[in-house]
Amino acid sequence: MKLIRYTYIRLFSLMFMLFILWGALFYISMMDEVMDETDDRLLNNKGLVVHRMLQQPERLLTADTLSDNYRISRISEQEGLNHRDSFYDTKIYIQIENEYEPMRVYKSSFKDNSGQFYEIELYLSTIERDNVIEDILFYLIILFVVMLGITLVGMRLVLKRTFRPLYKLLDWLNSVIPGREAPELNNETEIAEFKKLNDAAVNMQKRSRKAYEEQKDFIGNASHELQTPLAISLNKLDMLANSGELNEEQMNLLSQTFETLQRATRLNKSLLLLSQIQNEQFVQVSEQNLTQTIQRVLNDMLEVYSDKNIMAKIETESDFIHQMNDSLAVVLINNLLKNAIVHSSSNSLITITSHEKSLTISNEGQTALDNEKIFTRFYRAGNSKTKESTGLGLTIAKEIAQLSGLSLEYFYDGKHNFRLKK
Amino acid sequence: MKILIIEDEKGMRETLETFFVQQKFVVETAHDFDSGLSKLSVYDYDCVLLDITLPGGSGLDLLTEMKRLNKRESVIIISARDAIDDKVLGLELGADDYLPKPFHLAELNARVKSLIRRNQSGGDMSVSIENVKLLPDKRTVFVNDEELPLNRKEFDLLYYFMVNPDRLLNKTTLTEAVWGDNIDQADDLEFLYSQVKNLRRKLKTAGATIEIKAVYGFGYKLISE
Repeated sequence: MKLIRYTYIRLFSLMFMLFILWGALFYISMMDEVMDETDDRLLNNKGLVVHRMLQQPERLLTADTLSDNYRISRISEQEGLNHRDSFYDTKIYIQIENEYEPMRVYKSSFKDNSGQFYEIELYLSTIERDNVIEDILFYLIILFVVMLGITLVGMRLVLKRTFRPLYKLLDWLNSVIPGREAPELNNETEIAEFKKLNDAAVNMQKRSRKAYEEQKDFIGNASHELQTPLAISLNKLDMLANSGELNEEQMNLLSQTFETLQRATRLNKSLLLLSQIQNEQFVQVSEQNLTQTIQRVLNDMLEVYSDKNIMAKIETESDFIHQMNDSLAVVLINNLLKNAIVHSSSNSLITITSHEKSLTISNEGQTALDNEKIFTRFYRAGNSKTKESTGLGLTIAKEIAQLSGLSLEYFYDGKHNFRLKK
Repeated sequence: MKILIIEDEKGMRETLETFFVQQKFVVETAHDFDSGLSKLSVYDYDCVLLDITLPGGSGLDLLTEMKRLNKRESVIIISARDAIDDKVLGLELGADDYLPKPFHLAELNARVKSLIRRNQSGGDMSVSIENVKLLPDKRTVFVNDEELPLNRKEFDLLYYFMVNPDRLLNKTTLTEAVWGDNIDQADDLEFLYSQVKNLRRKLKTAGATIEIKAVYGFGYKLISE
């Protein structure tokens, strides 16, 4: 879940609950106020009615009769003494309008000069009061929705703005490729934590770039420095072999030493090539027809590995043409073909499929290889003979592809496939 | 034949010196920029082997100096710095060839001889041993003035043998010279054996007085009968 969404949902839930709580409290207190108002008026009315009653006692004669908004009835002394005032809501039938109308009732009692107890019920229509309550509820809901909406949008904007530097930093981190110049991080922010994060990320990138450079330089320098001693050893052995004073056993030993040393030389050359590719020393590009390069290289290659009796089939729908360095193109094709041939069993078939946008080299094989590892330095699949391979061929191929803007991928569909794609 | 070796690495310099003395060259050596320059400005050579990283200056600067001095020697750069830039720059500055270290002596020998042939012979580029004559430019071979048809690989092999006569050539050196980098993973050299076998048979049938001899497990040697 995205940070913004997460924060947003949390904040929003909190807001929602607070709003509801506030709305409910507000509504209840408003109701209270309105009720009080009605009850106050009823109390007031009672005072007026009772006062008038006591002024004009004959009116009490009409007691037990229902007048417009009150009713008085005699009650016994016992009842009068025990009487409790109360308010309640009810509905009363109004003849003229032929309907029930909601009323607030105040039931109370009083005593006249003669000591007679009366019960008095005062009525007040609550239509208005209910309207007010309805209005309050209505506006409260409107307010609730509007406030919630504004908070929603506002919060989103604020969050988005606040976290913008973070997302920018993430994008930048994703764009950083080891060994390549990192793009400028233009991520101005006033937030101290983000500033620190920016600085930390940039420093980290610089440190890792430095480490990468140093490693690259080290490999480059080490293989450079090895060239001369290797050259001297090889040439001295050559001289020794040509001295003509060695017997067969010594010659065999010499031959083995010579070949082992040549393997070291090849390994060193591959490392050097790798470091040159990574140092981008092959800058000149021109149009390369890789399909034709394959055709050219393939015959030589099959001849060299003629003892394996491998068949090759090229299916060309369209030539695969790409802008890249010419020597790298040859190395790339060489390494891929070599890989296919070396790892094929005898009498098997290699298929090359050429399209405008992709070039696939397939060779037969029983089990899929580890996609993660095959392109890493010195990785050798379980059955691959170490003697024949430097363990760098595919790594170099991958580097060349990357440098030339191609993708090189491996997949297994009953065969091993290496595909170059534009 | 006079050759100047400008190389600061002692082991390398001595090896090259011994090798070219064996090849019947007159060999002079220089170990840094200044001694190299002084030798170049005083004497003339048929070929110069030039290292790039030298104490006291770059081999590339020496090339510039040679140009300034109007020296016309054939120059082969031998460098451990197998950098494209160096190669391009070196060739632009007038070097004739560029051979990255480590290299095989036979390969260096082939290149030196090819350069000298180009500079000396007035059009005659051929390599001849006994009754076999090889024309590298036309890629043709004559035995007793009769053309011997060879395929591409057989020709390359024979050329390599003929510019390195009487030298024991290692089998991987041969395959690298003829098949290039393609073989750098192959450990089964069956293809070399069969090509050499065919070449021997053809030479023998044509009545050539040279022979390619197998030497134990090490390689082959071209000898005159």
